[in-house]
Amino acid sequence: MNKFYMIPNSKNLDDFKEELILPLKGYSIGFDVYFTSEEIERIAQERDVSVMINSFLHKDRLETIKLELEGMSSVKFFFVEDLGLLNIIDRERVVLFQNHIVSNYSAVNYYEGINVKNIVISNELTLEEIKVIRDKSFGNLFYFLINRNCLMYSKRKLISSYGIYKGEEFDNIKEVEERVSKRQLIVKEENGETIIFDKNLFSANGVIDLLDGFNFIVNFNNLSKEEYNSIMNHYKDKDLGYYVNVDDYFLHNKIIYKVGEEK
Amino acid sequence: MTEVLSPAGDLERLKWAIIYGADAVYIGGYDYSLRANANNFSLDDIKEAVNYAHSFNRRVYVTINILFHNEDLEGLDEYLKKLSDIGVDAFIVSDMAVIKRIQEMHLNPEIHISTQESTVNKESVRFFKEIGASRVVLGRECSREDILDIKENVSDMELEVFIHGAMCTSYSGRCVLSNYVTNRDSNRGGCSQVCRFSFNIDDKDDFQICSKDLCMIDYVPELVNMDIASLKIEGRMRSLYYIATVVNAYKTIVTKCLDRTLTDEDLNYYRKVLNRLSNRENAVQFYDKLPSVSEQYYTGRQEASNQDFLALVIEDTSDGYAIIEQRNNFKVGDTVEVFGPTMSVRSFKVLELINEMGESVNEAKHPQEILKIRVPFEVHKNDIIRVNLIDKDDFI
Repeated sequence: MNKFYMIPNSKNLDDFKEELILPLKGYSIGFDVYFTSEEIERIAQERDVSVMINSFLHKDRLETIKLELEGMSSVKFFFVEDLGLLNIIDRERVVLFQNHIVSNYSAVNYYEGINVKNIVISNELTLEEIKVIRDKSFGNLFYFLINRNCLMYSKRKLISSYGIYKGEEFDNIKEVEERVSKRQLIVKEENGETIIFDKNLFSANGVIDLLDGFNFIVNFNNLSKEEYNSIMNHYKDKDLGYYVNVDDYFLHNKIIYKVGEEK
Repeated sequence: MTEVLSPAGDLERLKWAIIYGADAVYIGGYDYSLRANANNFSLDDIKEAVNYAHSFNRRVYVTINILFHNEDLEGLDEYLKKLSDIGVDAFIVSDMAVIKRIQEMHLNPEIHISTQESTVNKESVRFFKEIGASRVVLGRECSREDILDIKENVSDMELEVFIHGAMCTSYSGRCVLSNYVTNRDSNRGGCSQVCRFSFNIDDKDDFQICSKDLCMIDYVPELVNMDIASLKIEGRMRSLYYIATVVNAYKTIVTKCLDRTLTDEDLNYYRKVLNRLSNRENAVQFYDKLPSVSEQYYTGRQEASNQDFLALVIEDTSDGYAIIEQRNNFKVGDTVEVFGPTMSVRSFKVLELINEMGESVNEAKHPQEILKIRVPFEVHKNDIIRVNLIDKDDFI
């Protein structure tokens, strides 16, 4: 059995039938819409809601987030990137979401041993690796089933600085293409930080029947209208790829560990 | 006591780092290290490195800072045990699977948390202290206020701060551009540095996200006053000359800070040395402000070939002459300067060069040629002769 969570891309939540994960305004990055702690608490009193806090918390934000957390007593889980929050939030309510980081079963079991039982595993794993993690670990595992994967998170203003350099004004979101590989990326600047997404939309729906036991996260942010509609109608379907272009390359191809392995 | 921590990509670099004053050196083995393309160390090399460093009362840390996939766990126990038996002083780790095994096996080396964890606040540092780490390498995004706050609130945890070298554009560990663009795993040692690539933007221009290098020389006195445990230099794949020069500069400054003899002239001089050495621009980055347009490259990294390293002294002065090994061209009449592990920088004019046949020559022009050079003061084995920087004003 799989449980589904949805990260909405709008404040009109009626369309999102599964449990919600709401990005906390000022403490999360890479989403189309953010919610204040007051909004989240109000919604959480009516339906199951978790909170996304995926920013790194430097001194100022670490101090202010404690007040925000106090106002969200009805929330189910807090998805956190910054390990400092493990000392602030009851670990039973934490879902550890260190993007790209948790990539083996032993790390999951270590966290389980220190009472961090809910873990998001990396999206840069093969299907076989994912299955081994599931089979050999004791944690409650979460996995981004459908996501425009974030490939980089920087505390730099990469677009606006470029604009200053060029003497032009740019929107805070830009599509770029790496010149050799032709890989297309989406660069987005928010509040002085920058994230880069893969233009390809990731989906593991093609192997969804092999991933029993996971909590699946469906992220509706950073999608085109067509992508949104297809996913909303088919997010549980094995053949989602029939309706929308998706990429599951890393599920089936190991990434090279060292340059020498190319030989 | 603040240590200067040097990188070393192989045994020869490690020895130079130690000779030139590094209090500790960090190295990577063949496996589990994020610089898979450095030469790196075999277990025999690591044993020799540890013995060598310990003979000088210096320390050796071994990076085991990849993010492990399931398959990488095989052989980890044996590797950790061997390193512990060799006597390495610390493991630099980022994956909890490694911490788990170090603790379950009750191994002696300290646990240092890699910058891959991007630790930027006191609660994260507390977390790592509670799980048994003795040191945290802070994220390079930390500001002065971040570091002060951590230091004041978790005073019994050792902090390590990057002070010099290349920067990731991303928070460390949070970039997989290499995986997606070149199919090389950035968090397992294969980073292809896509941040230095060019991107088309709006079908007409180049977009780059490459950061300038880090240089914190002006803030070393502050960090020493904060009692930061370790000042870290980046660059396990850098040259011998680079390592000797950078270590010598920072060790000199830290020593002068501690004995309260540091002057503005010292800082000015070593700032020029470091700027010239790096061949590319550098910046303070996050410590004193948030980076903006000045901290980035937009038209590629302008790198100039550095031919400052003229010769290595391979035998001490005897009767006014030293034996040297040539590295770059220089000639009689040039003013050069010499520095070394036991001497301050001094300059002199080259008056005489003698080749191995005993012939007087006007120019040292053959790579690695052994020559006798007349010097007006004592120089010693492992001292470095370089172009005269003191009077130069053409720094990059």
